[in-house]
Amino acid sequence: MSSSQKNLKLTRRQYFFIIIQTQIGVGILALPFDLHTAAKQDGWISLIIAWMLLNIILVFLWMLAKKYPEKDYFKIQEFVLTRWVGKTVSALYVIYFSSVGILILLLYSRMISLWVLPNTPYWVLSFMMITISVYIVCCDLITIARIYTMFSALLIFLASLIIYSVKDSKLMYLLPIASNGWGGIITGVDKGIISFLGFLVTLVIYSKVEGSPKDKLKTILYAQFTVFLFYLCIVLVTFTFFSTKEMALVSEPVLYMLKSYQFPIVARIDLFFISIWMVFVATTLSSFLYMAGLGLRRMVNTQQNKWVVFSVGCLFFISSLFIGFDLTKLDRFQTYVVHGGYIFAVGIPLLILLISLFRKNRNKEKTT
Amino acid sequence: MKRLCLIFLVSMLTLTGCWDQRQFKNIKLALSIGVDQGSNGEIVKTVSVPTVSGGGDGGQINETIQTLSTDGHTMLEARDKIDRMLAHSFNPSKMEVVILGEDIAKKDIYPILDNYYRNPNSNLNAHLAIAEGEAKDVLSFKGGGEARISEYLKGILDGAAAASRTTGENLQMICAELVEDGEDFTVPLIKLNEDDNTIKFNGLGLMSGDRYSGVKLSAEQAPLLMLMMGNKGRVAQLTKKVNEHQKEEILDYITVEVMKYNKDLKIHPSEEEVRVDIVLDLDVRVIEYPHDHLVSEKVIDDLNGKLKETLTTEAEEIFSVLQEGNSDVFAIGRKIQAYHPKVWEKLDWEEMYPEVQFNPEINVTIQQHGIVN
Repeated sequence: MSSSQKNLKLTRRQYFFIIIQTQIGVGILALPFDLHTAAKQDGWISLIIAWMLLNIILVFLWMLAKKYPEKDYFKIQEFVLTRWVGKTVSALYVIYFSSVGILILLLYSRMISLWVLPNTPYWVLSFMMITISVYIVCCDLITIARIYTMFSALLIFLASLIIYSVKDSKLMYLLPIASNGWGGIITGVDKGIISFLGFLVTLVIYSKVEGSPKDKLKTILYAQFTVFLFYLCIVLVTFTFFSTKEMALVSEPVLYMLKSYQFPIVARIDLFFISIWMVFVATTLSSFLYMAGLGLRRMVNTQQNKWVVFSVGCLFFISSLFIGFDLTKLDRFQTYVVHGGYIFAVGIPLLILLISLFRKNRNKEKTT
Repeated sequence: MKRLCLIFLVSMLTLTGCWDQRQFKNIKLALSIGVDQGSNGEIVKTVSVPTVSGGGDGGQINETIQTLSTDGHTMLEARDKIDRMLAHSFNPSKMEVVILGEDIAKKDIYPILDNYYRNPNSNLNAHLAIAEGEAKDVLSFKGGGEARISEYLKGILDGAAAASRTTGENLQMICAELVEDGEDFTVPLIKLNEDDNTIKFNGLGLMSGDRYSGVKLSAEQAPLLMLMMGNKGRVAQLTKKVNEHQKEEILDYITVEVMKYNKDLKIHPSEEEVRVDIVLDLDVRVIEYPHDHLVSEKVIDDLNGKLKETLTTEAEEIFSVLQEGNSDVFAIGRKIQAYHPKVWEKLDWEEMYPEVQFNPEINVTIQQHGIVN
């Protein structure tokens, strides 16, 4: 790590792609199904509401980050919540990020086992995935950002494969709108917000990005909008491709939809899609690995990036082995982690923001 | 060097034993599968499995086709039994055609197809067809100029879709219509003709809910239905009678090809009655009409009028057949549910559908008449 490399800040474009790559991940295959179970054919409305709410949350997160432009999120915690409380909260965050990482590994391996490699044992699938992520995260953030930017070109493939299926969609299946009342749509909002949960990354790496706060906010909102558009596209296409009743039968509608097509060279487009999707899973996993590693480094005050990442990676892998393909355990774990997301990605940051407002006032009083 | 060694070591550990390899030499691909109703409620499954041998060193490639048939309680039990008769294991992942016998198609067909929907390595891009008679007989058919029965069947079905006789829907497309209320579909019918040793496309079977209604549309009626549904294939050709008692019978008829079409379907639902107006505008090209004289506007107008009359009558017949089979292939029910949800809640669609009033209107405009007048 040369010092010139270390002090290099991320450009806003890189920031944009990091946000996108962190958010688009393992969830895209199941997102339409989750929205559909909650809100039937009105799931897309839930998604729009979720996105609107999210913009408000993001502005709050940005306000917090803007107050301490030189500190990353873990340093802010230490500063605002005093040293030891801050460290405890950071420790909780490390646990949270690790749990998300483990969940991604589990869901990814389960999907691959279900769709492509039914006989391959769990540890092989997750081991290969975690190896890639550890390899990516061992570098500096700037390298990670460059890799993410490069990989984002693959998004075009994903999007065009999905848009191809529009030719067989029937708009009729979206109607009637709100026939089951607004209760379902509101429950769907929960699922919608969950699909965006990677947004915490905006706060964590905010201080490492160059540019004025206003520009950064724009980047954050643009990135969010891109992710939202991509999600909406997936949801609308699958909802119109599958009939309302059929959606209840297929839990990975995106893949299922592509499975029914055949191109001259690629006979199984779903497999083609999965192999691109794996890249997005790897980047999401890497982001969480990075954040968990960063938290741990801040906690113990070390600059040893490689070893920290390596040990966190091992932790991911070994802990995930305890669950493996076990469906009931996985479901329970998923509920905990996903709902923990509200506390860690919304609750605690807002709390810190409140306390920081209070502290600032006190500081001002002191200085005056 | 150290790094290189590490890469080799890791590759050796991770890339060798593959749990999920499926080698072509170890499997037999079943390209077409037939399902019939057995006499005691079980299902009879027939598969056609090609074996390719020889080749290499410029040798002759021999292909032999095995047609195997067995009974079982479920599709996969039957597959398991067929597996025991084969030298290698049986694999349906390149399946092209699924043929249901007439009797089994009259029961709920979802349970038969379930295993294809459930397992990720099946080919959902396969055709579904119903055999008039037994699927087993169709699959055991030899001849037809094609080496493989699967290829022959697939050719027939692809051809029918290209000529706008079928929707060309694959297993996946059908699934939505199978499970959704107020929406039905058509399945191509295949008939084995033992006298002249051919298999032919013999019209469309009308599905009602999840089963075959037993009512069918003839192959001649199919293109008009497809046009009204907005499902034109590569070409759509209609041969209609427009004259009476000419010198030769051939002079009574005209054959036209549809160049452009535009359909407009309007539903006027209420709780007491449902009225459906379908207006189909066809721009056609005359491709056979031995009378000639296709220059004068009067003759052309006259023909347009006659075609309109014949086609409208035919469309009315088609709708009465659809209602007889209680087969809502236009998804009228689903559309009412989508656009008029309040009316839908009060309707008993099964009861209502045969009472729906269909008002078709087919407008024909001759735009071209080939290179002679």
